[in-house]
Amino acid sequence: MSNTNKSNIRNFCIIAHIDHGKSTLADRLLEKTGTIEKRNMIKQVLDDMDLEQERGITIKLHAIQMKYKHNDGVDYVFNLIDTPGHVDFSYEVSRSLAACEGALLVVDATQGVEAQTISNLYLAIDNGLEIIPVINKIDLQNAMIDDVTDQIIELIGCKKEDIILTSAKADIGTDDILNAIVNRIPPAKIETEKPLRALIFDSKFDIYRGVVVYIRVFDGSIKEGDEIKFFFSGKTLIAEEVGHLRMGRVKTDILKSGDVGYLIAGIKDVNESKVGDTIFKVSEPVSEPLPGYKEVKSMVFSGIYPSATDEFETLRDSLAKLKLNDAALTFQPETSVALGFGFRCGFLGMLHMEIVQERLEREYNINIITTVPSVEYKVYKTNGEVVLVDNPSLMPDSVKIDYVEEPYITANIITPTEFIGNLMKLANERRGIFVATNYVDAKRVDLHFEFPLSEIVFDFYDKLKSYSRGYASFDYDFKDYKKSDLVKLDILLNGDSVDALSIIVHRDKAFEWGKRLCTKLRQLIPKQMFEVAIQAAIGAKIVARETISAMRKNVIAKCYGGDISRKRKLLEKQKEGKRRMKQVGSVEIPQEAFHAVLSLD
Amino acid sequence: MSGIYIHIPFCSKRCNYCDFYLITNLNVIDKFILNLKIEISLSGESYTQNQFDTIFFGGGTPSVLSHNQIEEIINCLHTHFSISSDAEISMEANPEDFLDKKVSDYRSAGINRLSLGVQSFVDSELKFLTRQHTSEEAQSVINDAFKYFDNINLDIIYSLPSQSKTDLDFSLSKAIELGIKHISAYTLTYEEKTVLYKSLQKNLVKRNPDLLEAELYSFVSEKLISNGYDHYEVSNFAKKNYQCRHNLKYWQYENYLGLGPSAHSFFNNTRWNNFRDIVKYNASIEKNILPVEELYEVSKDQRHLEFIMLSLRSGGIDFEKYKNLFNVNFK
Repeated sequence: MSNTNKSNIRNFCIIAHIDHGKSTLADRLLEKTGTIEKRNMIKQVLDDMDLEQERGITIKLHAIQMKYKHNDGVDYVFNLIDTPGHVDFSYEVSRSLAACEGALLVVDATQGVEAQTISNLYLAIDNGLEIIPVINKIDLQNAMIDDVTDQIIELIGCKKEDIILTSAKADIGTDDILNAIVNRIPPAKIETEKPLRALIFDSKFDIYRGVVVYIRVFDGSIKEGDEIKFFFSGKTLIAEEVGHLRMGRVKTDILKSGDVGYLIAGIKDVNESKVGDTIFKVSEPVSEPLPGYKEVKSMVFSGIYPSATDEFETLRDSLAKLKLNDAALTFQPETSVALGFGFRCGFLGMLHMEIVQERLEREYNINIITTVPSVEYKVYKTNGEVVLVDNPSLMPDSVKIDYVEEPYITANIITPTEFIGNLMKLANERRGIFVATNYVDAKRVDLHFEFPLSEIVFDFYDKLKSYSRGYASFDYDFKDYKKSDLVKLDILLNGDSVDALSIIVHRDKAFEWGKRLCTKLRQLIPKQMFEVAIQAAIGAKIVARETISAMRKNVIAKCYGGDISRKRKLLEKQKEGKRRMKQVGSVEIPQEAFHAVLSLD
Repeated sequence: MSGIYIHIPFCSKRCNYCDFYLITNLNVIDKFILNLKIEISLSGESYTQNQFDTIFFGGGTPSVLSHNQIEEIINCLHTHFSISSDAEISMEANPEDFLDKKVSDYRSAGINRLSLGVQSFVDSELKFLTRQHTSEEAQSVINDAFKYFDNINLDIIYSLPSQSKTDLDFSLSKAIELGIKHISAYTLTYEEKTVLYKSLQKNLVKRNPDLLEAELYSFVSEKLISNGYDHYEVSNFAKKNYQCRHNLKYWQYENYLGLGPSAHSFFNNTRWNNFRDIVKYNASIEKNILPVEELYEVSKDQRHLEFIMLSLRSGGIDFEKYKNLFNVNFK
């Protein structure tokens, strides 16, 4: 069969918005192909991390191989490559798309096309994938099959009869999908005679075997014992084991052109096997890597500190362990006057940040304090120097700054037309620049904007949902840096600046932010034994002030026989509470205060 | 010297601000007294080496008991404990109870210190606190009581919503004028589960801001000090030689024994408390077992903390006593 362009391998993925039924559809395919028996199936097997199941988001991509005997008598091999569904992971999505020849575009019949679906669809089209449109959940009462059909035709210019109608839940149309995978998705191209070129589309850390690399072999073949090299990282290794991905890893002798599988090569850290890198054999050097490799760049930064100072080492170890499995996470030690020793961490986006924080707390059981997220600013100094600043407290003195640039993104917001007004207002509040409007169909539009990234870092998504009663969806992509009139806003408590509360804001918004932040902090910081002044300042200029009056009582209640142990327990509890507060100068600050900016409204 | 506290968990009616354990069904009093006497006899066996010089009847409202019942209990205590002849024997009472009972009878029963739940001399305030007496009734009861008791305490509650300083001044002046030797003055607290707390949540009443409360607190302190009272504990004021000897045991880290439902004890670095629920209390006694619900030894660290807290609330830290208790100098 080698050296023929007509292979029986079909490599594909599923593009869908969250909750549009990707996982359920995957379950049906696994069932129909006998990859897994129905009774063994926990709901939605592809999402195997707890967190993923809870959030309904596939965070890390996975792949699975299915064997399918079609009614044409041929045995087919399907490799379903799962893709993360969130914008933070768009590069990883693009690499798993690059490992495929086709994509099932799944749209919920009750919801219609969403922004995220469109951006991933464009990524798939860019990668030259054959798109098979699928309308799911057609059995639901409020299914709008005709409307959604029109949207899809408008979007990809297909024919009505190309669209498959299904209900993955009720197992309607699954055979049509299997049929389309066989007949419409181009067979994997077989180039066995060429030197090996394999694409890394994901990797995962296994505590027993080290890094397991997920690969798509485009040219040549790879087998145990091969001496291989990673094109971009330059690492040379010996392949220890290769195999297919079924419900677990299934060891094979060889992976050949067209195959999707895994590779184990004694790699200790996922950073050595970066997504998008090309693997080749040392004995058959190639001059051209597979296209599309990109260094993943952190977009959002935040300080992570242990809430108890004696947990610093534990936090460092935990971050290091997380990084083994998450090449996109970056961290380096930093210190804060307010919070002590911690780490400045870089994330792909807000969701990525939340996931890391949650995993630290849940899986590693560390209480952490996180500072206000920041983007990375380009600061042009008067002496001609250019510095990157991802921590507001490290912003150079204003007199030394010539000007500052901040990252901008392009955003697509898809919304029913009735919310256009609201969303224009939101965009205006967030310094959005309107670019264009495209009608998706008669009732829905796709609004294009440019936004400063910093403006969407704080609660933008929640706002978007509330301004559109949950109907609008949103997707973004980094664009470039633009010059902005930005200032650093400091928060002072009784005259001491709290570095962890500093933020960088647009000058026009600084007064308003300062005022709101002070008000919020006044609610969050408990009364102390003395008066506390909360001030917001730009440089030496105070722009807002609130005062927390001193605590004056709580001790004048009665204290007789039975009250003594109760009062002692209160004191002990208070002492424990203080341990979790941070002391700045003479003022104790509870953890929530460090999130005040995030919950401003 | 140690103290004995007797808890009488009965009240004829619950006040809106009260969250203490108490029973308003007075039919169970006889059975309670029977069991209390058994508890006294059971407990007495362990304290044959200890001398007691204070007894305090608290509640609830001990004055819902007849003078005969009080006398019965005091006699029983004398039988099973070694009680000094000059012991301070206090009883809490509500003014309205002495409208049909004679104060003199309680003096004859052995009580020598009376603590009256007057709370205020302003009728509208008494009504707000759902008390059962009027200002005039209280004054007449006090005047009568002075014929038999020299040592009388008044409980005062202040910082009521929208209470004026003039009204507070009126109540304090009245107490001073009547010749009261001891005053316990508390700010109104809003305890969960009380009727008052519910009113607060429904915004029917408004809690005074801390600043105002602090101001009223200073006012009370200054007023009483300038009239010859010693501010000897956070909420307590007394003329010379009229400090409550029983309460001082709590604050000076002395031993005390609590008898009756929900009573707390502290003896030889051990704390324990009796069952709150009178049914459990009775059931335990009927099996001849002391009705102790929870008992634990107070650790050294905890004792440090308690001693310092209590000292700071009352006369300040007594370094000599600290050294005796903990075998180290205070630093």
